[in-house]
Amino acid sequence: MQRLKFIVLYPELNEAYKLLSMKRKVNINRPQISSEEIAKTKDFTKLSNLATPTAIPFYKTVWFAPSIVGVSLLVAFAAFQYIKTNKEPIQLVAEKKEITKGKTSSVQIPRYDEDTPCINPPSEHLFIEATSFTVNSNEGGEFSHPSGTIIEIPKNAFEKDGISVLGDVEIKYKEFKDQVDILLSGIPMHYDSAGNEYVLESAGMVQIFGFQNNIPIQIKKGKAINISFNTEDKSNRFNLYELDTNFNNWKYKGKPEVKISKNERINDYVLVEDNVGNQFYDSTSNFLLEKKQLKDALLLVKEDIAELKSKKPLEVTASKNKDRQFNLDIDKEEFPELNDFSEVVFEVLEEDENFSPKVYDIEWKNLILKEKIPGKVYFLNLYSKSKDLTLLVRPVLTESDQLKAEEIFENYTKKLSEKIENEILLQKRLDQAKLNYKLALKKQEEKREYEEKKFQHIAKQKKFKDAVVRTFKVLNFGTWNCDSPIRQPKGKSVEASFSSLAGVPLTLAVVYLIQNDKNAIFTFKDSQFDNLMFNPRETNTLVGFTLDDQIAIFRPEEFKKVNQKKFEFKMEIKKTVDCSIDKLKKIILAR
Amino acid sequence: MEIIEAAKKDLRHFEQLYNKYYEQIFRYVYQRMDGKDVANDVTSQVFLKSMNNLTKFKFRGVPFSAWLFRIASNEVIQYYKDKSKQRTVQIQTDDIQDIIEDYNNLKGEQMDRIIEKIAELKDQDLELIELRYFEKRKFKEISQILNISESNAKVKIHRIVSRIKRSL
Repeated sequence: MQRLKFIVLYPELNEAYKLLSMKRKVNINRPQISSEEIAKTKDFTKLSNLATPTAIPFYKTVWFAPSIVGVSLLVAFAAFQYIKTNKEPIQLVAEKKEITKGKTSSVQIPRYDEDTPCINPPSEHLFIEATSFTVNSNEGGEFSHPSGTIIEIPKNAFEKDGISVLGDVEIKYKEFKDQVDILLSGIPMHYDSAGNEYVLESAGMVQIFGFQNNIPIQIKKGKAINISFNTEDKSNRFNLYELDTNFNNWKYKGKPEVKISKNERINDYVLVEDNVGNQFYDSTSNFLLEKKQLKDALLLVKEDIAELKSKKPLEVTASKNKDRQFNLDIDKEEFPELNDFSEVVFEVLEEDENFSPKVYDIEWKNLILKEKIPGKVYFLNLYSKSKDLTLLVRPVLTESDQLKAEEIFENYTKKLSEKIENEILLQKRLDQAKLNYKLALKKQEEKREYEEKKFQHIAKQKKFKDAVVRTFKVLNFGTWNCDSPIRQPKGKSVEASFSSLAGVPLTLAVVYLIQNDKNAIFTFKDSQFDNLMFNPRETNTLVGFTLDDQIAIFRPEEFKKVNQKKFEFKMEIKKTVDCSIDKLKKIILAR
Repeated sequence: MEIIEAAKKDLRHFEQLYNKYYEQIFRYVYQRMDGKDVANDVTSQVFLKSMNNLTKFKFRGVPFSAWLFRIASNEVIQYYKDKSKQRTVQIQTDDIQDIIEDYNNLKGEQMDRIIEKIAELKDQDLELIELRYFEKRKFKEISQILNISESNAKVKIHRIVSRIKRSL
């Protein structure tokens, strides 16, 4: 389809239109807008009413310490008022149940996409089931999830619309630890920070809801449920986020507490790994930066050299035969290379046989000077009534101009050689920087392999289990995540289409890219299929769900075949009804 | 910086920043939009986002205005993405002469060719030409807005201009 857009012209404020085939609409000479007009559009009051700023962590505020006293007084006052208003705690459950501390059971809870449009599990058959347990609100309790996660609920932690809830409360809990869990959750993993888009790499995500007689309840203000779960990643880079389902975005909630097992061997290992990892990260990034800066600098010098060469000044040549000269009045704008000299004489080349002294006797009506080699050789075309003649001439300077030309040329060669020297130097430095970067990468890779082996060895001894525990406080029921924002993968971009192994085209609304080394899901909507990005150096798997709920998988080994800009991903198809989450993890994560 | 720190604690102080930068941001957005009303909506969105995320702003050598321009740049992209529209380009013919400084008297068809060439530039290249020639910004400012090095900005602009010249 040809894209026809129009240009709007504003010549002297009269509008006219012109059709051209181009990508964008172009307005030409649109009248400038005045500052007064712009000022009329300002409305800070309206804007500030709409603002919902992210708060500064409370402990960083100047009023924190003095407020403690004030808040204590207020709390005491509020408690007194509360008792006075006669609001009795309620029990939403009609019949009392026995408290079953720590008893868990698997239940299917309503699909979350029914609760919020921002969560869209991709499969109807494969989804993470919630674990349910009952707690007496008055007493609280501590519960162990089969994964080893500990959930601590304080006394009197729940309310319904500001009124305390008494008696048994059902807690429904889900956790999502790896890429398959995250994929099946349908929870959005993008994160918008000041207009910049990131994907959240998770160190563990949970969903927790409370009910009494199937009526949703809330966590009281000032109360928090403590969740401590085991994690494999020991670094401190993960933050805590709460999913804001109204705005389909994550809210930053500070840092989770990280506890490391007292097992000294593991502690040592963790410390060594963290330090080494950081050092290597820094060293490679420095080399990369240096390489980039040198490359930029080299490009600039090359551009300068090219520009200098294109403006080479006149090379001085002494006159060889004063009897073969023409004194021409030339337009110096037409011959800028001769611009610096007051008087230029053109001398016919020795080897030009067309010349004879008789040319001075002819009355030439017109003459044209054309460059052959700028600053060196020119064509001089002479026209008379009876004869046309072309001679090869070269510019010859007067004595004073010769000195000037020598100086200009000397400066030019000096400047050029300086630039060339600089270019050579920069090229050497760039080569060295490239080598340093390669070496640093190699070292990093060797270190990684070593650490990986060490990690596997420790894991085999089962000493790693429970080594690192992340604890965070849940202040509201909902979805909470320990994450670190990362960028989309880079390296290769393809215009993707999808088909089954038999070549039948597949309609996929979304595909999910799983990169083995990142506990994250990179989501590509159908509108992004023409720019599907992945890092070919990593182990990648592509997963999609067909409209009839079949899983389409493109395995890591197949990625080697992706070598064209337009690529048809031939996907392996599996029915979700015949598949389990464990089976899917075995396929995708090789677990 | 004092005002920014004060505004982080109390948004009422943000009004000073709003008054200081409103016109600059409006002009930046309006340059890329078709009408005043849309430019006003997008500019409001820029300031709303900056107010909401002000606590995340940390001074790391890049001025506050560059931070605002980056948000503005993202908002403009988002606007066209949401509306599935082609981006609008505003060109003053006087500015064209600055791009093609070696050509003294551009003929009508040459001018058309340059305009067509500019309109066909990739988004990133168009942004560089707009910042440098239509908005007359210094390389340093361009590098801060686009988060690239100053020399990189120079090289990129040089190459785009060379490509445009070659088309003549």
